[in-house]
Amino acid sequence: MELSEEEGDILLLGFPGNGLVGAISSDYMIRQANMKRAAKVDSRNFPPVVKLMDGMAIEPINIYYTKGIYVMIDEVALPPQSIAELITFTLDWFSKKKGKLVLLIEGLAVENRLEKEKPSVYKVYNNDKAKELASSIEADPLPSGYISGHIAHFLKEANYRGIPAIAVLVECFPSYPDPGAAAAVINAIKPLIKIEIDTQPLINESNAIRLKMRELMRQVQAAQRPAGYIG
Amino acid sequence: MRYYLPEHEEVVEPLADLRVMVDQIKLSMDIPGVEKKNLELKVSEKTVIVRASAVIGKRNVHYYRRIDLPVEIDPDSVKARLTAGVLEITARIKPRGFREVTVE
Repeated sequence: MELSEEEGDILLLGFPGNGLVGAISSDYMIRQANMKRAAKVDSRNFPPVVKLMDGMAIEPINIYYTKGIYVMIDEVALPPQSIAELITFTLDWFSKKKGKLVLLIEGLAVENRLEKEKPSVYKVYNNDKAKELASSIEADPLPSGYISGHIAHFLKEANYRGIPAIAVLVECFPSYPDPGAAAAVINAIKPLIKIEIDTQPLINESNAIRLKMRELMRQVQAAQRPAGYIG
Repeated sequence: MRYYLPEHEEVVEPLADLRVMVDQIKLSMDIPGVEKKNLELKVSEKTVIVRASAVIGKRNVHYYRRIDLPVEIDPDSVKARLTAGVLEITARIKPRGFREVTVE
């Protein structure tokens, strides 16, 4: 990992999970807030994939920065053990930087997504400090049940390091990229991260994003069993 | 799979999700930008074929997907609905006709 000298209080993680909500929302925030690439993350255990930008091959997992916030975006389908490794490594790094809050954005696959113009957003926190910070997120706490996969790993590993962590989950399509859900979750976290982001262009370019993200969705479905919530 | 054609024309294979239940199938397909008038759906007992087109930005997108079903359906029972670029298809599974055979 290579890092610049900027300091951030909040780290936001976006993985290509259910509905690719984490990847779509992270990508949109990075573009809208004009964030600068601050770090790249790679491991020999990750699949051999690079991202091309004007002929340049770069790592597909990067951390961007603006105004005290880091956003990590993963644009490659990783198997579950690699996601766990990435979360652990990133939390170690953020812990050393004495970061104050880590957020994970993820989709919550629901069968009746088509019937919902505005998908519901939920939050899960790992300690009292996180619960206090989460009060400004416009979402309901997830009712009792179980969470499995990388969301559970994220909440537990952050707790071991004493970092307040919040998973923000939004209802989304089980099998398709869902820019509408990404817009809903960005709107929900805006009061907390205090970055002004207009989500209307994301809705307007929704069809193009669904088309563009098709192949990544296929790869994700092949590579991993998305994290789940059993209520 | 993706095929490139000249002049912003593109054929893409849409994402699809097939669920087989006890007595029916539910098939959905993500065809962003498609309106009903630009959608063609054909079904037989074992196959569903979708052809559709849409204009997304400056691109003319043509969708094509043929799905061979793992069970036989009743084509007359098929219902289809297009909402926000997601095509949902339901159909009854043909009951298997068992016949008792007398062993000689």
